[in-house]
Amino acid sequence: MPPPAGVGGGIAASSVRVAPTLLKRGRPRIADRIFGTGVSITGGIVLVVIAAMIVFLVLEGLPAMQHYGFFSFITGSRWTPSTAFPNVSHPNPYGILQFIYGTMLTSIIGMIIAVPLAVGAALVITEVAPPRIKGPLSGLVDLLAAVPSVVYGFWGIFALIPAIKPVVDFLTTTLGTVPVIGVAFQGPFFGVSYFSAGLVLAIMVLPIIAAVCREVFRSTPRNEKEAALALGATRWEMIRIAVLPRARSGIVGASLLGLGRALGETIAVTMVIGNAVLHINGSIFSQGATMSSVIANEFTEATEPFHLSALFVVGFWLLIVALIVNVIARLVVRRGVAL
Amino acid sequence: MPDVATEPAPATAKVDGTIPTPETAVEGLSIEKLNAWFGKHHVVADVDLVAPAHRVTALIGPSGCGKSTLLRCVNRMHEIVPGARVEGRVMFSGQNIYDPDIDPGSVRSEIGMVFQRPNPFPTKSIYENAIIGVRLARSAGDRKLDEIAESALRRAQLWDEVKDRLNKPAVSLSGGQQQRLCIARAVAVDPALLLMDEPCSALDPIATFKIEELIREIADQYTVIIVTHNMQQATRVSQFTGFMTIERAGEPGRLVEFGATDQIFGSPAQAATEAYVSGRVG
Repeated sequence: MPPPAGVGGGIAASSVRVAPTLLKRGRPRIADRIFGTGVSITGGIVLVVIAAMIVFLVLEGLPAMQHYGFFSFITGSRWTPSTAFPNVSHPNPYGILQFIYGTMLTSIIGMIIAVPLAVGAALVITEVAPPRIKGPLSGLVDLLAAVPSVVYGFWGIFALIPAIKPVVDFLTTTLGTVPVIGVAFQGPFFGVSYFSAGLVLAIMVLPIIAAVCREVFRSTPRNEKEAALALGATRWEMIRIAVLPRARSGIVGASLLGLGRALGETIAVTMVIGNAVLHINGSIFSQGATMSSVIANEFTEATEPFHLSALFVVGFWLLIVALIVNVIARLVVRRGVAL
Repeated sequence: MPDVATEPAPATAKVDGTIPTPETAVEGLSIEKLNAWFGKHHVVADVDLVAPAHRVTALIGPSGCGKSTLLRCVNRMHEIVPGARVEGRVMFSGQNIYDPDIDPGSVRSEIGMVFQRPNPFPTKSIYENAIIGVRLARSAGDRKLDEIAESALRRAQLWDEVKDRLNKPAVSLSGGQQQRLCIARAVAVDPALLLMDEPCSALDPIATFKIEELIREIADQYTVIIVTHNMQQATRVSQFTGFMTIERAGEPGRLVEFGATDQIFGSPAQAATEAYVSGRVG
């Protein structure tokens, strides 16, 4: 009987020399190495650019940080460049707490409004609307994402603010007079405000969140939707049982993308927030400023001592805030997956 | 559970003379002149069929003959696909489920369905999967739910394997266990009728054997209609068999022959049935 073909048979029956020649020694093939190197270079460039940006921000902000102290910026909430003198380092005239507050507050307002609307819009597009209008509807949402932010700002000033003025005036005279919580809703309302900025942000981040949620909902296995329907579930019950539980971490991820844009959004916010830099305003209807809006507003005329350097410090902290929010959000997503 | 057992017998058997036993006197479900389409594609044509109560009826036939579509017409699942359309009547506990004033959801909650691939809700626990139909129907209090879960899981012969980990996610089970969980989910609401669409086609032989055993066990409590590709399975689990086929590609599927399983496999009346069950075609 001839030895069976193959390595095993070869070793046993014919000759020991067969086996080593089948296994090639040496490094991975050349194409694989070129590919590996190429990808490492492109990936490396991205990391280097990010690192360079952080280094640049720190270097430019260093003079102000050295003069006033690293933490004095985030303990103060008065931004008064005109009181800065070259030899005086105390108190720090460049307090930025009110900007951090403004960035967080406008983003939170934006997210509170945008997330439910976006999830609803995505559900309409994927589950509720008749097939014929699903396409146009979803294109319309994508189109919202393509509107330049300066247009949103323009629209905010000339359309949105006049429209919400009566409602807000009503709220300031009712909710604003309630003890304790009234502080957050006090007037007077001049139009430009944290709230107006939050509202504009909501409309700007809505298409991003809706587009991601749409893809997440669309990926629900038909199998599981049918399981729910076959149990007699209504369409809403089917969404609740089969679509939403699976999508939970996707919705959080989509919201993060939106939040990322909201935290950094500059032009539209600068146009509708009022740019009041002096202190933290408790009422959401009062004027304020965000980290990005103060940079955009002042970098061309930063002539006071350490003024420009202090703006770089603001940029540095904006980056830190964005990073912290991202890390927290990632933790939330990871826990969401485990649930 | 609707009292189908006391429904009066239809005056005349709907399937012309091929119903061989007096057991059809108790009607579980009757399908009359049923036609189904996907868009312009005619998938099922002129099916008349009576599934006897508390018996297992198998639907066999080559791929694409419309047997799954026919099954999905019985609990109004066919129409959820955009463009899908049904004509004809399906009489169930004295009512036509296609009556315009019947809510499709109520039909589906009275008729259980088990799918080809196990489809438990992956984010929900074993316990929650078992009782979700009851929760949807809002027909039981919380204490009752525990009893319902246990009894459904027992009927699906899964209880002993999962009783210590009811709160674990359903996806932690094996494929066969998941399918039995889906059966538990379907029987938990005590449906009068249970539809199974090739329930073993994604399972290994041992899991298949368990599910077949389970189908035989529950057959005296439920009217079961099972679609299967596996002819041995049809002979093992069913008392009645319907053979469907298409004459040519593009033609709608028709019910060629219906009768007692022994007769369909032993002495089929139609040449097409004979060719299929003897393995010459399909």
